[in-house]
Amino acid sequence: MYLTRDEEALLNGELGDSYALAMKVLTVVGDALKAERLISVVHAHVSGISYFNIGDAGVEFIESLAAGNAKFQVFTTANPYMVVKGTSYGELPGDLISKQMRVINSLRVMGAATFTCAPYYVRRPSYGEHLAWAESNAVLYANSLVGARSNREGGPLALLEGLVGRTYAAGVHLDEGRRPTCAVSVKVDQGVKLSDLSLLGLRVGELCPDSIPFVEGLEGLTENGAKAFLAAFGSTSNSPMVVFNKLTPGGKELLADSDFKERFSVDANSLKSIYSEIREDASSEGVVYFIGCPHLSLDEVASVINYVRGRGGGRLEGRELWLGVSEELQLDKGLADSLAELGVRLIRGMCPVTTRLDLLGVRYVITDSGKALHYMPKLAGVKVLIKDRPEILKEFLRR
Amino acid sequence: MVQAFQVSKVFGADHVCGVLMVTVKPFSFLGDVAVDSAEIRGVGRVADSILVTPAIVGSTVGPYILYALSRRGTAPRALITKSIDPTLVAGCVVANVSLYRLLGGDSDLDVLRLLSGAEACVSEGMLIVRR
Repeated sequence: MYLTRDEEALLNGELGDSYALAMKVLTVVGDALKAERLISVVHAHVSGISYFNIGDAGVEFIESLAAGNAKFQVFTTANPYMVVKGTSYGELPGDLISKQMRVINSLRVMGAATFTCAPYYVRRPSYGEHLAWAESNAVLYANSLVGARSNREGGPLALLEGLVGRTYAAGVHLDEGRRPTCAVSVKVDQGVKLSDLSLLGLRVGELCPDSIPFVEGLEGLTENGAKAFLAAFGSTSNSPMVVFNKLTPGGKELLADSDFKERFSVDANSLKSIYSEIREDASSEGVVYFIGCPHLSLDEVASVINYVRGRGGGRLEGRELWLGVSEELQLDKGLADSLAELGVRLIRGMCPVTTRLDLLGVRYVITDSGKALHYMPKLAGVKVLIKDRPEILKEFLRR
Repeated sequence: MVQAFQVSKVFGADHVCGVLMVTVKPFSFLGDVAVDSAEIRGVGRVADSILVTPAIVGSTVGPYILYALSRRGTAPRALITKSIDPTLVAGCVVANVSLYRLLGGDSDLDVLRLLSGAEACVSEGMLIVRR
């Protein structure tokens, strides 16, 4: 791989061990993927920061980089962390919180701007821009809905790329790496629900676990619908991108000379029976309603708040609705205070999916997210039911 | 009986041996692997194995799981996959786990599945399995 003099200096450790490690990993990855050079990125996004996921080894790895005085060379954000606070449930054991704080502090010392799984709401990328993002839903959003370019980096890789402000010129950074090879024709009813789009995303991911799909039949998709589909898709597929017919910027050019190796058809209505076994009745004890995987936009939060306020509460005693949002989301204080009275909690910069909620006494989570459905039983130690967002809000508010 | 399958090195050692372990389906390091026991749920313990899988899927947090296994000395000695992606490569470099690409088609995977548990070595571009 061709390296500039500056890149060689970094690789040779002239600016310290952390930058040298970053360049070593980047060049091996680049060579493996036959990249001819490195390219500059404008935004790095780090995943893999929940202590429950990365354990002591991850804490030590991230701390070692910060201890070497390494700083991010480009705008860098990071995924939400595992601590859930500000709810009526208790807190995690102090030693776990302390280890999580070590990760957060190290990332802040290196220059991380904020913690969210929706970095596209913090700094919206532009068409054609090169990114080094590691959160699967965000990578899929950037490539599929904006036409920006990011491979699906691993947590440590995006961290290291942020330190040197570069990535390898391969994969979806190149035009040829963006061509779909798996065609999926989907059938959905008009006004399809977000939760059904989530289930559809899981299914399309299973059908195309390792290839970029071209999806026909979702031409009327809203941005929120696409976000739900993509987050679920990323749980079952490795692909960094989905080409939506007529929606993905630059998609038409990518279809020229298309060579689909596989073709599938999916009827969204048939998925309900496949996933019916995960729909069971939750008892009222330890039930949390959770919307915000991925984190919600300001518009989505406003829409939920307006609905809840309009109904004037009336929730079952002890039930809470958690809304996952970035640390940065600006909400009028009076509004936020009234939410607490209604049992609505803003979970800022945190991720219930990667938190052991069973340790807090939560037993069931009712959510509209296919991604949460996929990961929470394994990671959060709770049972998960998927329902549509309006259905969740109505159930939360029922007397 | 000795059987050989063509592989190409992506990262790490030129020669490595271990017990062959083959997963039928792609798996995710996050969620499917228990770090404390170094087990892939429903498959078995991966420590010191030559682990063959069609692909690694799921969360991009996976490399830290591999790094954690490596720090504990319970990582596979080598990973052999049909598909190579940057998350997987970065995880292997940071965790210092050798990585190879399986060059044959699905039929190779089908045969390898039947050989799971046998002694295997990677050498000179070949995965050699003895049983």
